[in-house]
Amino acid sequence: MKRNLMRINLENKETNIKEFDEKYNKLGGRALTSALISEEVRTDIDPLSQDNKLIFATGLLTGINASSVHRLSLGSISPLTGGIKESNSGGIFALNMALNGVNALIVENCLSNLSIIKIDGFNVEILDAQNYKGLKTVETGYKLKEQFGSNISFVCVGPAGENQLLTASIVVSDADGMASRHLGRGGLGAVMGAKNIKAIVIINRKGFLKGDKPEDLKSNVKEYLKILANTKQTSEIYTKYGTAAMVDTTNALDGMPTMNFRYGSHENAEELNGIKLNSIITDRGGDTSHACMPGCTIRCSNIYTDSNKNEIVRSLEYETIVLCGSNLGIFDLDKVAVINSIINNLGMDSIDVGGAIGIMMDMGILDFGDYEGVIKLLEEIENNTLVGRLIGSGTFRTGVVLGSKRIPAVKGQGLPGYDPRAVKGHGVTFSTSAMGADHTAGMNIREGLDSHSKEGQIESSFKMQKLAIMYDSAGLCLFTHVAVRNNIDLILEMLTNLYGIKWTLNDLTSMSEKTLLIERNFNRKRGLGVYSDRLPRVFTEEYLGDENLIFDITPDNLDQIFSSIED
Amino acid sequence: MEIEIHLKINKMLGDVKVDKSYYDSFEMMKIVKGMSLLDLLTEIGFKYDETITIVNGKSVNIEYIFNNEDSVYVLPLLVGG
Repeated sequence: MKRNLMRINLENKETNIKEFDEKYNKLGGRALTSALISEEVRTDIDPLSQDNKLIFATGLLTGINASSVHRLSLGSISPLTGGIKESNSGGIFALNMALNGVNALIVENCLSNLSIIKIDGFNVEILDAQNYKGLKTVETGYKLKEQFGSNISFVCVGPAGENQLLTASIVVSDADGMASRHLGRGGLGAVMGAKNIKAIVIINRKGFLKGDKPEDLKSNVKEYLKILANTKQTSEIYTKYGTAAMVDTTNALDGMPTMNFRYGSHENAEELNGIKLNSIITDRGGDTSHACMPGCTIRCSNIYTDSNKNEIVRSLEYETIVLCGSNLGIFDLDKVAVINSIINNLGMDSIDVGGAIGIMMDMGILDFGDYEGVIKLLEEIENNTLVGRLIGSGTFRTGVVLGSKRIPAVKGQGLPGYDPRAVKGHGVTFSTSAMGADHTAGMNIREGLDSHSKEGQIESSFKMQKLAIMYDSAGLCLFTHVAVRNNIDLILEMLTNLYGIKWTLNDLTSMSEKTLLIERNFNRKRGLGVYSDRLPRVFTEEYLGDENLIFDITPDNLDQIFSSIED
Repeated sequence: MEIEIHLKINKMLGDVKVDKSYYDSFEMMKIVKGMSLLDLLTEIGFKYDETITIVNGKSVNIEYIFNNEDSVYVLPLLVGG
């Protein structure tokens, strides 16, 4: 199966399509975006200048008629971390890229006026978008459908992206065509805003990719679906309770960020957990098992409504529930849903915004639990005031400006919903990943280890960082892990029957290891030295909870994590 | 010889072999001294690699042998949120 790379030069408005170079034949998703960024983007540039690029890529399995394989990767240099970044999202954009025959999309240079890029097959138009200026993300989605019809997929930015806030996300349309999924981490919405792109629209195509050996691939997919159906997590737990199912686990481990990471658990955690979420949504007649992409059988998303059945937000997820809930001392899902809705509609990363507001509360600027105060701060972002821009610059910069000594961030990016003192393997990943503190970079919350102990965490994090790249590069949702981890041969068979060339485990391992090194070396050239591979002092000097938990994995050990693959 | 543990099973795991009261709160359970985590999970109907078990606030591995008065919480294993 041939794959194509589309390059759009915004300066001269020329588009070029070509088949993948042979060297990219076995790369997809994150492995592909990181390879292309490292080859095409100079390491000495300003991320918000015309020299940066946005590189969208489909996963290796994206486009086939299977569950949970249509994840979208976006590579760039992050204005938030300063390093190489891959942001990852569900939705239908990647599927329709693949069905249009566009497996990688490189957007380079800048436009002079706010515009929309429309892609229909290999035809590209750049259209004026002045009438979209300042529109929030949901409104933007509706307007795009008015202009282009409902048969589209899109990515777009909200006011935060247009204002080049460093926590700006890029929103991706979901299976209902709604602007709801987010390429959230790393502030890549600011890069899109700096390029004056309000949205990229793709005309949807029907059908799925059949592959080189359609019947064999169909049989593989049947087996794959059976495995997902026979695994409780993928057939029932994520489906009924969503990612909020994680609340009980982190709370029990004393690892649920609470009040700017001062605590790791809370007596009211049950007000935020998956059971509560399911109960509220079910009582109100909402949807607890929404699929963000066609064919997904896991259906972990939800549509959260108010008591009058009016939609507040889709989807209320674990990271937001924790960073904008327990981290702010707010233990009410209705309130968290409203906060989430405002942040999503501005087009921002709810993790980094929640982290920034948590610091403000910790510094006494407002009280923990002050919901009305949070809403006022979000209005400041909408009004693009100085305070709003400060919060929009994320957890790290807010903490630095306010003089906080307790800033939960690595490489300038706010920590997601796991306290590294209690979930030490995640602390290793947050420290050493080129992605910064990123919940998609390699989670090992229990790979057979005591998460409070430092024993085995380096090795486990290394393994999970490699697996995360494998999943992201295949286009596979990370939530399939529990089901497919013992069935990697089946994934290899799917790749073999799709592409008509033999895939081995070594292909995937080698791809993951090379990607880790490419990303790390790129960051080193960007000036992100060893100091950037450290957790902040709050986690190495301040004890957590009754057990006096501390992140006690030494810098020397952290620095050895990639030694087995380094020259 | 028997020892006592306090067992709670997260509601998301659904009904298995144990009494429903274990889904509501930590309830006392008598087990054979020397029982490992794997033995317990097998007895109450769970697969080890689909669960995360927290004993006295810490996650433990498959070989863990229970002590008298341990507080044991069985949750679903998830990879992320």
